[in-house]
Amino acid sequence: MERYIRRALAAFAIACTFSGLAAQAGDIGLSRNWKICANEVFELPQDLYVEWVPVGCEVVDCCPGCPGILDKLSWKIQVEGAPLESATLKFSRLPKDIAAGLKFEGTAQGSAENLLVGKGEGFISGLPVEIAGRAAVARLDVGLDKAWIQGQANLARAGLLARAEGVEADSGSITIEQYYGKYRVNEYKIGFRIPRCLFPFTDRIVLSNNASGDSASVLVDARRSTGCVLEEEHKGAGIIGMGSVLSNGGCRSEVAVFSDDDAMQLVPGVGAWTNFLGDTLNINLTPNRLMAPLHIWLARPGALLTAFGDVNNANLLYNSNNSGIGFSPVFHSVSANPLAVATIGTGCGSAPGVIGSAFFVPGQLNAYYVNSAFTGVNCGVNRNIQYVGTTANNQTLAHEFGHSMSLDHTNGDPAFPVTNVMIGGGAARTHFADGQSFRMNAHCSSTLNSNGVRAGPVRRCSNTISGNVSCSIFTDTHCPPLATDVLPK
Amino acid sequence: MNSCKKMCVAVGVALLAVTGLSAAAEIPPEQSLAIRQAVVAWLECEECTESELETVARYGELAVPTLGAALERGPSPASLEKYRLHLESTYQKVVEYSRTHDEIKLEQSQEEYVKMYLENYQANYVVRSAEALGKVGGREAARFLEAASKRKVREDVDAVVQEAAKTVAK
Repeated sequence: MERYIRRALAAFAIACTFSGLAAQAGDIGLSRNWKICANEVFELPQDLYVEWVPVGCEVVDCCPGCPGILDKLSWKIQVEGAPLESATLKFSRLPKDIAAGLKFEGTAQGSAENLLVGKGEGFISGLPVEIAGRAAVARLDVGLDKAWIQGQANLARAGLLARAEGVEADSGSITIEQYYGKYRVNEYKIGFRIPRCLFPFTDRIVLSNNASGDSASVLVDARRSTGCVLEEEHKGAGIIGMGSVLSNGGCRSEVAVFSDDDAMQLVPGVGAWTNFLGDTLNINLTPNRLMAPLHIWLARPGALLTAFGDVNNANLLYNSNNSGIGFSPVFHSVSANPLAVATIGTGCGSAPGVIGSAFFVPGQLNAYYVNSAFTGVNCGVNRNIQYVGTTANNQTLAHEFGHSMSLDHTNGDPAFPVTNVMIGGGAARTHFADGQSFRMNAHCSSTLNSNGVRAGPVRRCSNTISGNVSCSIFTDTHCPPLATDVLPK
Repeated sequence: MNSCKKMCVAVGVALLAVTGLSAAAEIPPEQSLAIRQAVVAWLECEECTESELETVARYGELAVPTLGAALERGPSPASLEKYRLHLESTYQKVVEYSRTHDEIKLEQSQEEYVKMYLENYQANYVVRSAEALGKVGGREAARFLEAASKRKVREDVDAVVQEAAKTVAK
C-alpha cells in the first residue's frame, strides 16, 4: 500500500479513536462491589482487593456494525469517590512493542508495567484488539485517598468514628471502558462501599458458638433516639457494639444473624433493650449450617465430575456468603438405565412423570444431569426438581437452588452487581445478598422450610417466586429488602 | 503537482473510508452497543426467561454478523480470559474450603476443572448463536449455519446446529 494511503487511513483511524469517547457510561453495571469497613481501611489487605481486567472486546467480532479497519483499542478509566485516590494498572501478556507504544493521557501516567491513574479520567491508547494466545490482562489495585484515611483516623482517635444514624457509607468506583474507535466494546466497573461499621460498646449483641469465627452480618430492627430503625447493618465475630438502643416502645424489635458455618438465627420480639446503657442481647449461633439433602441423578454418561464441581461450588458460594445453608449430595448413576433416562427426560416437561417415579426422592432436592444442550432450570411444577444440561457453567446448580428456595432473578435491579448468583446469566457469579439469604431461610415456601430442613419462624416475603406450598395470608410479611447488604463478604 | 495528486488521493481514500463504511453496514455506536448487549445477554443467559432471544431477533440482520462470528469462533478472547480467571479463583477457593469441609469431593486438577467448564462455555456460545441465527433467519444467517453444520463439534452441540441449519428460514 502506498505510504500516503496508509497515512490517510491512519489519520482516519486516529480521528475515529478520539472522536467519540463521550458515549454514555451510566449504563455500566457493577462487575464487582467491594465493601470495606472503615475500621479495616487502616490496614487494608491489598491482595484481597485486586482485580484482573482482560484487554479486548466482549464479543468476538468486537462490535456490531463497527468499521473494520482499526487494530487498536483505547481505554477510558474513571476513578471516582471520596475514599479513592488512584488505581494502579499492571499489564501482563502485552507484546513488548505494543507495551512500549502505549500512550497515556489525562490522569494516567507511567508505563504498561506500572501505570498510575489518578482521580478523574485517564486514557490509554494503543492497546491490542487481540493477541495470539490468551488475552492480555491488567492487574488493578486500588489506592485509597491518604487524606480520607487520615480523616478517618482522626475521627477514630476522637471517638467519633461510630456510625451516626442515617449517615450514608462513603463510596467510590473505578470504571474501565474499552473503545474501538468511537465504539464501546467492553466495560468493567468496580464499586467500593465503605460503611462506618464501628459502634461504641454501650449496648451490645454477644454472639456465641460462632463456628468459623467469621465476621457475621447482623440485621437489627429496634428503637433509637431518632425513632424506629429497620435492618440496621452490623458486623462482628463475637461482641458487637450497638451504641444506645432504647426499649421497644412501638417499634419492631428483631435481630437476624448470618454467619459462615452457622444456621441463620432469626430472633423476633427481642426484649433485652432498655432505655439505659449496658444492655446485652445474647445470641447462640448453634446449630451449624442447615444441610439440605440432595439427590444427583446422573442420566448423562460422564457427568459425575461436572456434578462434583457444581456441588462443590454451590457449597462454597452458599457458605461463604453467610447463608447458613449447605448441600449433602447422594449421587445416583442411572445413565445406563433406559427407563431412568426415558423417565427423567431432558427438562421440566418431564417433571410430572418424574414425580412418583423411582428416580425422585420427595421432600428433598433432586438435580438431574441430562444429555441436552442447555444450561439449567428449576421446575415450577415442583421446586425440588432442577435439570442441568451439557452447557451449564459452574454456578448454574447454585443458581437453580436459589430458585428452589424462593429467589427470583435480579436482572435489571441496579442495586445488584452482575456477580450476584441470581442474575439470570453471566459466568462469574459469586455473591448472595443478606436479603436473599433471609428469604432462602425464612420465606414460607422456600424448600428449606417446606422440606423440613429448617424449623423456625417463617415470613411471607416480597420479591420471591411461587413454591411447593402456599403461604398463609396470616404469615408475617416483614422481611429485609431483597438488596440488603449485596456483599456480605 | 505530484504532491497535490497524492494529497487528493489521500483525502479521497479517507472520504471513501468514511462514506463507504456509512453506506455499508456501519451502525451508530449507541445502536451497536445495544445490539452487543442484547446478543451477550442471550449468549450468556441461564433460563433465558427475560425475552433475551426475542430482543436479539428484533435486531434482525443487524445482529447476524456478531451471531455468525460467535457461531464460528465462540466467546471473545477477553471473555474467555474473564471466565478462566473466575474458574481458577473458584478452584483455589474450593481447595481451601475442602480443608475444613468434608462434603467437598475434589477429583480434578485445576487444569482439568478449568478445561471442563471452558469447553461448556464455548459450547454454549455455539448453541445459543445457532438458535438465534435460526430464529432471525435470512440468507446470511443460513450461510453461517450451513458452514457450521459442516464443522466437527461435540454431539450435543451438533444436534442444535443441525436443527437450526435445517429449519432456518432463508
